[in-house]
Amino acid sequence: MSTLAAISALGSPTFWVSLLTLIGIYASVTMLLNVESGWGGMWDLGIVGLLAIGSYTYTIVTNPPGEFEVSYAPGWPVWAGILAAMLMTGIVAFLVGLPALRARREYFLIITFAFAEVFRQLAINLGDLTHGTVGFNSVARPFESFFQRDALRAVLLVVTWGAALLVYALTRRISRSGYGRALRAMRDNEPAALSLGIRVSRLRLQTFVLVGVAIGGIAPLYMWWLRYANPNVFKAQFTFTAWTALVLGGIASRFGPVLGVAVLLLFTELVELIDVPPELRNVHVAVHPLAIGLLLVLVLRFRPEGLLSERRTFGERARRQTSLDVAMAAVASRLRRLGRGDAVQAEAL
Amino acid sequence: MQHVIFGLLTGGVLAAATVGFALIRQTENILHIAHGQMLALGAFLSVILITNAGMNVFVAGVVSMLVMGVLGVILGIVVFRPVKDEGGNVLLFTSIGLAFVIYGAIIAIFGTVLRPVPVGFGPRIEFSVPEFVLVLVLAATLAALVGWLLANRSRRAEHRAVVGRWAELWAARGTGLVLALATVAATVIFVLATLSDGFGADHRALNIATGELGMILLSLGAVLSLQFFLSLTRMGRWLRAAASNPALAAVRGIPVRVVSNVVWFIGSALAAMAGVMIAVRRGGVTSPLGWENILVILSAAVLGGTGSIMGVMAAAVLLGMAMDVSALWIPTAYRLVVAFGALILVLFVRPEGLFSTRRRAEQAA
Repeated sequence: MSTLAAISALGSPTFWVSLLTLIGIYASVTMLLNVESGWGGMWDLGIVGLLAIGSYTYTIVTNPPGEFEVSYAPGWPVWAGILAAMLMTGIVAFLVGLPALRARREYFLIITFAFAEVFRQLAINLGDLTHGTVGFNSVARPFESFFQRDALRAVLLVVTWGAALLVYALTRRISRSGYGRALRAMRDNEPAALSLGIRVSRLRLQTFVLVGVAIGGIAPLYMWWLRYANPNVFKAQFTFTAWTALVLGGIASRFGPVLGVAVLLLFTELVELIDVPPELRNVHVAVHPLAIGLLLVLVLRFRPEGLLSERRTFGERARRQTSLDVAMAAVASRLRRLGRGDAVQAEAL
Repeated sequence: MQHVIFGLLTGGVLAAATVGFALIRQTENILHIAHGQMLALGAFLSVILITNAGMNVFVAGVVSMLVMGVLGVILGIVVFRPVKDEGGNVLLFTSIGLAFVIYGAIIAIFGTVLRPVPVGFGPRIEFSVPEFVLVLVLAATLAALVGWLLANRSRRAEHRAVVGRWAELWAARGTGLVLALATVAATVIFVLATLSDGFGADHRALNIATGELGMILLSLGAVLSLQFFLSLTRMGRWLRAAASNPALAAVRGIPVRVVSNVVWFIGSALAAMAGVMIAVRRGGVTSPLGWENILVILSAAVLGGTGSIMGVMAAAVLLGMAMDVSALWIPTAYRLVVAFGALILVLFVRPEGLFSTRRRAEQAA
């Protein structure tokens, strides 16, 4: 029985379209997390908080007036909702970043973690705006009048992967630019980066807000896929899933986040597909957290660099670059852009 | 005023949980996210022991503490020791991974439904506001006297040196004695006044169940005995040495692995103890218990800073107070927002914590 049900679901295009869309969304978020945490060294445990802000902003402003008992429902078109989500998330990221980025290392991590939980609590308690714990059970989606159900899913899959491709292009651009090198230099050796003229606190805030805006752009995609919004969706488990994928794929590598997300989600979603007898129901529900946890512990123990390592991405196979090398390269690239790189680079190296 | 009593209870339980977390954080250098799950697992274990094995709540609590302590040691050896030298971030994410494994195990074994805890709180004790103040003053006086005696009159030099550091809170040198005498005098006046009912005190203004009082005293006792263990015994001294400089401690012949096992045992057992108390206080446990508590524990530990056990305890009690007393002005639904708001505010003004004695040591490292 159980195997039969699983096999029939495996054959259905709906399942694969849904799973691939989810992978696209998670991959985008994880790539952005990688920019911030992998290259920028800002270990953010509150990424789901930004996603929640974006998702709620989008859902609230695009819901048709009168459908839910909330005080504010302007019923904006979808494109305006996306812009509003990006703007709002950017502003919130700026406001969170100002105090949070003053704190270092573990304290930054705790503050972002706490902020994400505060946002979730606010979503629960500001019922007038967010419809409380019940949340919204429908979300405005684009092209709804043009396509049937299944076709719309396929279209949204394409849109999602288009966005993921865009994010990938962005991270690729960052990884090859002076900006990316400056980020890595700041992460590895802050005093050196400072002394070489990288404006560290500004760079941090810039990156944090950039990631915020981009996540605000991804949030509507998530809402289109999920088609509901309530505070339970934005628990810390989302953040930790993204982090596990990142660690699995390889922190600070370029393609690692995508690979990590694909492997992780394929595994957990396929397990979820298995039909189990009721007495094993608990074990079945437990597989997702168990898988995340075991993967994290085992990867960190036996392959701490992940499947694809940072060294692979940046072609540093011959010799592990020292932090000073990265910093020097960052400055050299900046000076090159100013047109007087050669002399200084020769002198520096 | 009743809120102050709720706050004391919340803070006391939180202190038991946070002290274990802080101990692990300082000696093992881990932000132990899985501590919340250990707490939850301890709670579930005791609930099973009470409902299925028909144990008394105290016996169940002790058994659960012992089991969790041993489990903590095993996890410390199997999971954390191999990656000990990989740096704080690897340890942190290993702990997060472990948290998910334990969380998954809890769901797999105990399911996602609420498990009620059939334990009563015993009769309620009713008392008036002056009487409550009196008890607090008496307790403070006692603490001041004991602190002063230990700090200045102990025959063993290390008692004077070690105890003196935290005893300064209450009994800095001679002023402690003056303060203590003054409070004794105030108490006598208070007793006389209350006995003659000069304040027209309402004897039903406040109440606390005996069980709740027991919880406060138990967690206070646990934290205090940990403090004495750390400052007065040889193992405690080893432990502090290993915490402040592991390499030097190892060179000096301190058995650092044994010390680390002891830390895991104490930390996990304290987590289980807090878990049992939370389960009893709520009247039931559900699977997200660990996640609900870990952020508050984190907040209290960070507020307390990395200085001392007593600082962490003070921070935990303050945080518990803030969460419950704020209910007078802010709807109770915002309890967690208040707690994290306090955390974010404190980190903004004093990044090293409220009671940190090693100022800036974190940043220099």
